[in-house]
Amino acid sequence: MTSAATKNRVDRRAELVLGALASTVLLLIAGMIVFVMLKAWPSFAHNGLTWFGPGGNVDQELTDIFNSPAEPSHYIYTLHAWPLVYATALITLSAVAIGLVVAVLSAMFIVEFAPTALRRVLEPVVRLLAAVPSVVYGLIGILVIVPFVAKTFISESTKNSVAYVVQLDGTSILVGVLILTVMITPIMIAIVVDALRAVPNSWGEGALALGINRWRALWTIGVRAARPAIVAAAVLATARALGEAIMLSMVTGSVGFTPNPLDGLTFFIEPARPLAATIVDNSEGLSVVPFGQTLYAMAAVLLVASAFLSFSGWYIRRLLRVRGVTSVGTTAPGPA
Amino acid sequence: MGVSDVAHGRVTIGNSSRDPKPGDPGGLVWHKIAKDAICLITNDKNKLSNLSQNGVQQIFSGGVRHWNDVPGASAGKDTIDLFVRTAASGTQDAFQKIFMDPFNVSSTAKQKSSNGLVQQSVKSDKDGIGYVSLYFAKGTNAVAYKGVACNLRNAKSGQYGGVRNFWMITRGAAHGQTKKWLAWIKKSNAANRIIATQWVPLH
Repeated sequence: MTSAATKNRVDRRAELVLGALASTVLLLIAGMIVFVMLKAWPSFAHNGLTWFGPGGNVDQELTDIFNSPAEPSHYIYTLHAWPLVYATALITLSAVAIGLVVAVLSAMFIVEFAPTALRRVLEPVVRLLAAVPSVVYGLIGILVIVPFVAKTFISESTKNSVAYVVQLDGTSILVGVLILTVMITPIMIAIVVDALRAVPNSWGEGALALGINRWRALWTIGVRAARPAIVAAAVLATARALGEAIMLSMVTGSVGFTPNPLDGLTFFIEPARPLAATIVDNSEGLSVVPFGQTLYAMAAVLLVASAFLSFSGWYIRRLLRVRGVTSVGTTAPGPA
Repeated sequence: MGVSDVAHGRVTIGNSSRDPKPGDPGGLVWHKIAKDAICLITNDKNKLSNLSQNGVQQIFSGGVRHWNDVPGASAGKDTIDLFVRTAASGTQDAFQKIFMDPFNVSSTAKQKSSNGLVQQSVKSDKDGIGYVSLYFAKGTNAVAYKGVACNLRNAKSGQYGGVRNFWMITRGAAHGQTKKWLAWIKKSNAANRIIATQWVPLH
């Protein structure tokens, strides 16, 4: 028999242990941010805001940093990382924008319109897709999709016309965005499905009783009420996309090139390389001090971007929460 | 990562396929343990048989962009697709020093993060050319360099020019078991035979 006093003590102990665990996580995150910032500082200090700007060839700049002379006072830091920052933003935002539309529509279908048999298959498959490791997608990308794009969309004359500027061989932002969308959509579908289910039935029924059809009822009541969860899904997906490195390094061509929308259709088959892919591709050079610091600077940019993302996601959800369903409002983890 | 691991004392011996860089941390001792041939490879359909140093430099620096400008190539008038390794890799470092110097690799070249990915890209692209460690030349057309075929025999005899170093690195001079291990790798016949299966022993 446990007395009330013992019970209290157990509760108190659990509280302390859980509290300590939670604070350790906070400390770890703070420590990580401080560590990365300290490592990254020389790169930012040397370049200032031009770090983010265009200029020169970013790959040549990285090679020069890698070949820095031995004396710390002569380390080379000059880097204009615009092509990498631009590629990160372009690929991430395109994939999230496409994925979000697909996710909301698929979730509506699963919740309201899918026959039960289909729904029973669809839901587990969607959740399984969310768990496939990115390197698997990368392999499918280089073995199947890249050669297909090269054969189907790239003619010898297009290739020839830009031969001295950029190499078109199939690895491209098109393939990167396509696979990234496939990677991040399932998790968004899962979150939006849960949110749509959490909308009280009576709200939708009320709308139906007024005589509107199921589609309008779901769109105007369900999706509206689930807006905070949709934002949460987008934030989570963006965080995953920002941090995606291996797959993008394999299929986007891995060149510090800035795809130009003015190139018309060629734009889609031009290569690029986001920040996270640049870090994994060059991690072999970490031991060369200024090169390592430059890679840490890229990591810092990603870290700040995902922190900013989490905060703005939290803020938007707070604004929407007034009349929304909040059961699935999760915060995004950092880049995987 | 081998260099940075040993520099931080996380491991006793680090492996590296690139030569020391001036920016590497001080206090590291680099022990040369073997050599490796770097082969120029094209797609199997492109039976390019030989390249001079000037030819390699012209192609990889982006001066020559079409296969019909390369004598001996059989890829029609197609545009050349270049596949290279990322800036920090040993293969890239060696290629730059041995083949390219004083030219730089063209900025249009696609950078791959492993030898296997370069091999894969060249295999699936009929207009591709790249360079890989000898072991990864399988399934592609290995191009002779300066008239010497890229194979183990020519690399061992010293005739093949595109040969780079493999290193083991210790923090400070090796001692105790580490010293014995390195001595075994460098001197024993058994180690020599293992190295000679795919790489070039030092003696």
